[in-house]
Amino acid sequence: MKILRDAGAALSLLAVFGFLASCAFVGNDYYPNYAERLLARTDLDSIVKSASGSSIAEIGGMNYLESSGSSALFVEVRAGNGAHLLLALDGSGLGDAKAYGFDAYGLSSNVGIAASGAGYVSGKALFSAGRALVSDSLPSQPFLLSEAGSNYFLSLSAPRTLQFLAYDSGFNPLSTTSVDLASADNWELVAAAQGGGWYCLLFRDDGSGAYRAFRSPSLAALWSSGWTTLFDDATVPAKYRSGAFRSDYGSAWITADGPVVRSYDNNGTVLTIEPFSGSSSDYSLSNMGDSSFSFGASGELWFMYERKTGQLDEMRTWW
Amino acid sequence: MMRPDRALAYALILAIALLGAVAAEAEDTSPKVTLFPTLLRGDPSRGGAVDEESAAVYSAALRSSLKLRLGEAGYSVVEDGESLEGGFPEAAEASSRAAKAGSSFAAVCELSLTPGRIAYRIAIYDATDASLGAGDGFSAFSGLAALSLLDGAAARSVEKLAAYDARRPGIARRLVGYRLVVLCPIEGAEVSVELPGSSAPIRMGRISGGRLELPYYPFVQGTTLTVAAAALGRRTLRASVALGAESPPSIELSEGKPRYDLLLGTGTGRLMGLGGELRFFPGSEWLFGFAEARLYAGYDFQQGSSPLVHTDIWEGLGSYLFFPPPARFRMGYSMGYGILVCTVTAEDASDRQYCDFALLPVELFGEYRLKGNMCAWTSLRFAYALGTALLPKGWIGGGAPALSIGALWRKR
Repeated sequence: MKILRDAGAALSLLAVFGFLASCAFVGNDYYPNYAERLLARTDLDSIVKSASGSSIAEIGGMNYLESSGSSALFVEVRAGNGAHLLLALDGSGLGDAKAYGFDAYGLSSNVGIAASGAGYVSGKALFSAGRALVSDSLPSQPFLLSEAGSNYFLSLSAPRTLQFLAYDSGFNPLSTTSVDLASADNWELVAAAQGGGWYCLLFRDDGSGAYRAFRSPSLAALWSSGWTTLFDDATVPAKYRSGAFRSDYGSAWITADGPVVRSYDNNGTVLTIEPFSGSSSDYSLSNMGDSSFSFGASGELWFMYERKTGQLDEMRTWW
Repeated sequence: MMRPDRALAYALILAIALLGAVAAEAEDTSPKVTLFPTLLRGDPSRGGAVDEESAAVYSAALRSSLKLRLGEAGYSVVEDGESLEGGFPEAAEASSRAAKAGSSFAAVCELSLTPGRIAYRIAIYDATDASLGAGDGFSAFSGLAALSLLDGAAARSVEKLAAYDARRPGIARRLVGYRLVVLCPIEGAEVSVELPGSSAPIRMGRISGGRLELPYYPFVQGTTLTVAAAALGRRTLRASVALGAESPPSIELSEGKPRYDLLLGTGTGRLMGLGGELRFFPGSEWLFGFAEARLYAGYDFQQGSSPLVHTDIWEGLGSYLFFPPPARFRMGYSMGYGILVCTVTAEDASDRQYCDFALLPVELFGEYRLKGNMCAWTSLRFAYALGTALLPKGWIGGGAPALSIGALWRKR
């Protein structure tokens, strides 16, 4: 009987433990859950402080790019003292940060990969693969994609036409190709990226707030395979386009695997990949404060800046 | 009308009884034997019902024969009219009661009656140690012939008793002449004594005012007693004492002071691992220092996740707050600090180790003693991270306590 009594007491303790462990108030692992996919971390606030003398006030766009065996993460920041910088960090380890005056060089938060391994292009500036400033006199367009030794600046010259302005590797103009968006809506191009063997485009309808995403194995396919009406679902294979989707908080990113949107639930931020093929997958970031995110175009890496800690993290994706 | 053989039996019994009484009166100073009421067992086929009339005849015959033979052998018989309650084996109870009555021996008769047959048993125990000194028993057909067999059994038992008694010179001289005093911190605890070779403890009384003077019992010098104090919700305290010629100091029942505890367990947020804690008690049963190491992994079982291996070191001080050391359940509080190292196992990670520091202002714990020095243990920990690495500055877990559970072993 005593053994039964003792066993009963032990089972009662286990039951209490199990009950409490299942309760939300006890919480999960007390480490941030993203730590299990963490590859590198850097104190971005300290970098900005040393570059500008002031802490970060605002994070603009973040772009992760891979070119000729190197990689870089470009981050647009505004410091508390008004300094406007483009930080160029080593994409592997987030070290060796270089800071450039945003306005002095006519930079853009959208950074593209220059053709022939020439480096990276932001606004009018060309950076080498080592992120050193090479030139600040390029033709300026918001987005740059490159393929087969040619650079293509993307421009919405009319509400329904997306133009590809071709340049050679020395940024001498070649020709222009147009793609009809086949829509009366006010679609804006909000992101263009290349990685993982794909070219990706993300559009947003300024009126409804809806997004649409596309991917193509080559730029030529966009204008030479019957895709001349990009938003006409009958002409673009389903595996290369998403349906219209919304991001209630105006945050969406494009990857080769599909667009990622941000939402919130009772526990905090939820990031959802909506794959071009397959089912969606959520990732919850519990107890997170104000944060900024970016996703590599290849869909393998993602980045997060957390304002509360000033830390910038490089992590593996969850899909 | 009474049958002639039964009338003759009553006449014989009366005669034997008269002779026995005369013999007993003549031996007032002789060693005493306490004779208990006969244990009667009935016919199992009739639900154990006893034929009262027959039982009275045979019981009276057996008791009268025994008293007569004891008297003839020089023993005086004291009859204890109260039945033995403990049932078989009756040695401990009979011996204890006989000793309290000042007798050297306890005699127990037992009769089992079934139609046409009678089984009988005589057992005479040494009141000093409840050992069987003498006895006899057999079975026979019912009737007058059985009476002579009962008398024969009584005679043989007394012969054996005399032989046993002759072999035990000095036992009486070796009875302890002092009273034992037990000291115990558990008020109201019931104290019992276990004799060597006896499975039935002898109840001695309850602790009052932190002590109990044991009532007289014919303890024999050279015996090692086990004294136990038991109370509801408390661990039973035990102590052994060897009885010598001189009175030993008071028998103090306590658990002894703990030297250190070893705790093993796991908890929320670290179910993929274990933690071990060592507590050391610097001379107190209430205060302790502790050092804890936890090794566990974090993993979300999704694509791209790599185990994050944690090695946590926590150190600090603690104190029990409620319930005294002998209590089955105790609660307490501890505080300290932690050094939390985690290692990223992803092959392509450029930063592999992070070290966080944390304060432990509040940890509440409870223990439930299961057996001996083993307890089930649980705690609620509120820890504050200093924001030195991966953990953001603030209450770990957003203020929700980390729940732990495990087992504790105490070394005294």
